[in-house]
Amino acid sequence: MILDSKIPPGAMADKWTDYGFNMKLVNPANKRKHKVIVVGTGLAGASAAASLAEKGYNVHAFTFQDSPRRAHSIAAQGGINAAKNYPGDGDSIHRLFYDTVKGGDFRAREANVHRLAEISLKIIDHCVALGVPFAREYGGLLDNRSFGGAQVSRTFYARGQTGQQLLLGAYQSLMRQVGEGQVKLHTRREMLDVVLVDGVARGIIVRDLVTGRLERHEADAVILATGGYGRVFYLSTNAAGCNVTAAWRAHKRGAAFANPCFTQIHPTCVPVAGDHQSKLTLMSESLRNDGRVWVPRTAGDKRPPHDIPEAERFYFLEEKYPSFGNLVPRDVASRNAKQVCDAGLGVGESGLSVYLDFSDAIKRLGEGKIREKYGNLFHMYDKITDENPYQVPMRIYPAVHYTMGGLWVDYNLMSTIPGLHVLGEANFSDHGANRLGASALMQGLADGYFVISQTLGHYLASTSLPKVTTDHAAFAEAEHDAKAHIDRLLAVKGNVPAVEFHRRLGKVLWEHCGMARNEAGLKLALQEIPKIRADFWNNVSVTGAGGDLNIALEEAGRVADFLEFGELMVRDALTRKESCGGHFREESQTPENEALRDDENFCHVAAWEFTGVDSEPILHKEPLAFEEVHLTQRSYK
Amino acid sequence: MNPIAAYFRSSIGRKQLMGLSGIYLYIFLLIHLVGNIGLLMGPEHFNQYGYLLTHTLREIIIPIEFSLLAAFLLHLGLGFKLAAENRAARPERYAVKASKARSGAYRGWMMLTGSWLLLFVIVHMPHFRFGAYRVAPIANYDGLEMNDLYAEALRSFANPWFTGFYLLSFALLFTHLAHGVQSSLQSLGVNHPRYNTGFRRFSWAYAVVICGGFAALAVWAHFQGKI
Amino acid sequence: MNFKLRLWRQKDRTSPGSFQEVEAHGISPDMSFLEMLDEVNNDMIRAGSEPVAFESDCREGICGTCSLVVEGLPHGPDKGTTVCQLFMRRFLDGQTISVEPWRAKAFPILKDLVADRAAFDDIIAAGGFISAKTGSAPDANGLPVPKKDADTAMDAAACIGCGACVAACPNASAMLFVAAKVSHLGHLPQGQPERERRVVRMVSKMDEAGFGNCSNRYECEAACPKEISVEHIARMNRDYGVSSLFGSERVRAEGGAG
Repeated sequence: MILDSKIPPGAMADKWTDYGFNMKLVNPANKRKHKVIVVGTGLAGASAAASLAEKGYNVHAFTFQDSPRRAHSIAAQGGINAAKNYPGDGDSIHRLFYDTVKGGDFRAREANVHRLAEISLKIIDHCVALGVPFAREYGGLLDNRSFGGAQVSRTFYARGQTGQQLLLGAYQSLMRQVGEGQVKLHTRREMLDVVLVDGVARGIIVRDLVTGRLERHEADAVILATGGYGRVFYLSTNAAGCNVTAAWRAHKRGAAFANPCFTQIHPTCVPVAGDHQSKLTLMSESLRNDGRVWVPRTAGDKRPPHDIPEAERFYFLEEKYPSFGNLVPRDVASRNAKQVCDAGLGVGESGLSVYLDFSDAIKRLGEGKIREKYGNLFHMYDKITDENPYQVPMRIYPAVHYTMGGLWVDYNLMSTIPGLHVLGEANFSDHGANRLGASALMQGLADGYFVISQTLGHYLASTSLPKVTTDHAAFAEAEHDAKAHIDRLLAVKGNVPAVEFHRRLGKVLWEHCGMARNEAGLKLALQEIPKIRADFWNNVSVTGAGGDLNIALEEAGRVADFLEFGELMVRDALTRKESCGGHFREESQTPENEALRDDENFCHVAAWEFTGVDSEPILHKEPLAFEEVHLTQRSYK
Repeated sequence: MNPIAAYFRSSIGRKQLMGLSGIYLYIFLLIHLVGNIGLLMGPEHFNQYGYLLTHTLREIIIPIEFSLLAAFLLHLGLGFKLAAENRAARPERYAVKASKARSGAYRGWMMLTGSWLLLFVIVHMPHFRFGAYRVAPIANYDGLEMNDLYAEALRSFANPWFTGFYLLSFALLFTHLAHGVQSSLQSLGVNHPRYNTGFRRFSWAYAVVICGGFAALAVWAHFQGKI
Repeated sequence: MNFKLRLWRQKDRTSPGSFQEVEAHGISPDMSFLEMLDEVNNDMIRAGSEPVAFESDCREGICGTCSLVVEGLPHGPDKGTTVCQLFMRRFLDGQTISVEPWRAKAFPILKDLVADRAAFDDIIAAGGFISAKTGSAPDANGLPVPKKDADTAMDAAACIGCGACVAACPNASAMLFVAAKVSHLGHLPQGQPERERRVVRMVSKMDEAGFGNCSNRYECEAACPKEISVEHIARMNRDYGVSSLFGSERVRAEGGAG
């Protein structure tokens, strides 16, 4: 396996512009002859399907949900970054690029990040044109706010529902193309395999979730925009349906999986209430703009928060990081919350939470203003916890939120399987070891609206693709494999629901491959996971039939893939013996307990090649060079 | 399809026709009420008013009556059609019925009250408009002969069953209007947060005035007739 | 807490359905309604029977996937709440709770508590968008939008497309859903060029799909988890009347065909 990043030559600021001129073009009249499959209809998938259809390609879009509008991009709350510099506070493309590379702790590809920063401007323009109701000032111009980890106000937002509004914008564009017949939409279809013909991705196998029928679809190129794998931890802020299945099955067919251990733990989530919980709920990071994070100074202080005098409160982020205060990047904020809780200072019944206090902000701005900014978040918190955050401080704790790792892609967003492209959270490319707030939406839309619509044309124009039909043996074989997998699940006939194995896997990962990792723990996890997997295949209960709408079967299939994938994640974490961003190896920290990188040995992308379920994967390294942003120790003091 | 035809076949187009015909009918009711207040001014005034409508202004009134008939039939026809469609839009009903809206149940009785009002009109029109059941007595003022509607009204309302039927109809008309007036405004797009409370009050007030007025007259006629 | 559940079971689109009575034991008051159903389903799976099919995804009230009628109320008794954010502390210990799917001709039931809401997608495809090709937009600040218009547009745009409005409407009408999109885009200057065409086409698609008519009962507004106002329906009524009777010829012709 060769990892060729295909980064264009030239100065950093010119690479993407020059690419546009140098790439090969598909004749407008020929575009409709190219059939393109897009799997996933979140921000990246919907925007890719819409923009490719606008350009004239014959697009087939697939989602496992009932409608493209359900994709989990919809839950992103805070905002989307763009280097517009509307507030005139010194922002620029270069600064956004710089912040993102540094925020990612120097484990992202510079050229990709620079392209992202350039495109950020166009994304805002386009979304406004689509009718996304971004927040505005009284003069009618767009409002900006600052967001975790940035010292300039470059975040655009639509109340606490930015992801929803951006997704609906992309969804509407997609549906417009469906209405015009440029896109054929296949809902309630779960992708089970990528079909390779002569080593090139030429189609997919999907299961119709209503009838249970397996379907073959052929195309000239396949695009995966199937999201992240955060639910491998079971408890995360991801939706119940989020899964790694499409990406994992592509990996099994030869797509390298890059940096799977780079997972992001979000600092501001509603704390876990009990074992029954099916997911954790995120409270937007924007809350840290006005809320102050604190715990009591003395361990075991059980007084209600209002009775603890100012002097006995430990505002740990403000004290440790005077210049960034409560706005330090996510990994730093999360780790500090864990540290104070480990020291016994945590609050709430479990002792696993810290206060996020708005009383100062309410005094300064008034309750009305706070309600206007965060009303829906406060309402949601009140619903879940039965506590009114206008009166008592919120309690928050970190939770798994986003995965920076994903299928390896080159500058063109193509994986190691020719013809298979990967967009959005499903790929690994732009966030390095830690993603900054309000960057995920930016990346999803950059990939979908602006990058793939260029690079896919280049691929199609420069590749000779013989005609392939679904009668090809490769399709029959892939369908057979998918069917065998389903039959195997139905044949176990144990008595344990799949979710229990998922919870067990999640506990192992959270404990040993969560906010802090060490060699002993990771090695233990590497032993535990295969045991859970074996137990799963002996005792899982999947009731109902294969040829029907069967939620037990859907869940079991996804859990089976998580059980294989989790092992790879742990292996990656074990191999990367340095701390960087969200990957914190206890063996590698500064005297102040900050993440300590080892650029000598680990300044690379770790891309794994699949060799079999119970066989060790092969590690390939893509070295990272930093020409523009010089490698430094991150500091937010 | 012709765009105008498309409008008249669309759900919103037909709702707006319901609203417009409703508005026409409830404005008519107000004028009808004002005319009926003439009862209080004695037989001569009231009978002269009746004569004015049926003879002097005949050429104007007849077309208006036809337009009212058309509005009534349209309102009725659309009402039945929309109700049938609405039933078809949910072939399987909920086993448990509940409501979260603050509005009263009467809002759901439009079909029921409307049907009753149709019955009322079938009884009322032949009687007072066409004199079908009984030839009204003749009154004579300054040599001009006319139907003595005043006497006929008092005679009819003397019957407690007759008065009861009218009062019940007015009560049902009240619920029909309390929702209908407001609903017609909404269908035509008249809705503004600043004025909505006003619209709602207007709707109720209008229903109270119309139905209260007619009911008061019926009660007055009942006791007047008995004396 | 313990509950007696009456769950709607239906094999597929065409088979008749009926209630299945199930006991739910040891439920924590902090569980959401769906987590309670998860527990019930896991018990069924352990016992070797098929779990009740229901839909959910984000479980934080924004994706609009969950869709249960609880005791006759879409999304249950709380105002401004999706059923995934409805907590069991809201119910009485020992209570009998009936759970039904969305019921409407335009939302056929696929299985148990799963209804097919594809009609909503068709309505959006008919006109619920602004046609702007990728890459063609002017600078985002080139077109100022008054704050109050942006805010009203956002109020309407908050719709999550769950279909509770249809489920709650005595007539199974989709007016609130359609009006929310018409009003969202109609409040923005970017939405003006297609304003007439949009409302005509979306309404015509809505009528085609077999939804009922609006009789201004406002059950939709009361059931809406995002508390979207019926004011938007009035606005759509206005827009529709004006656009179809007085709109430009081209719009009318296309609208008729749509």
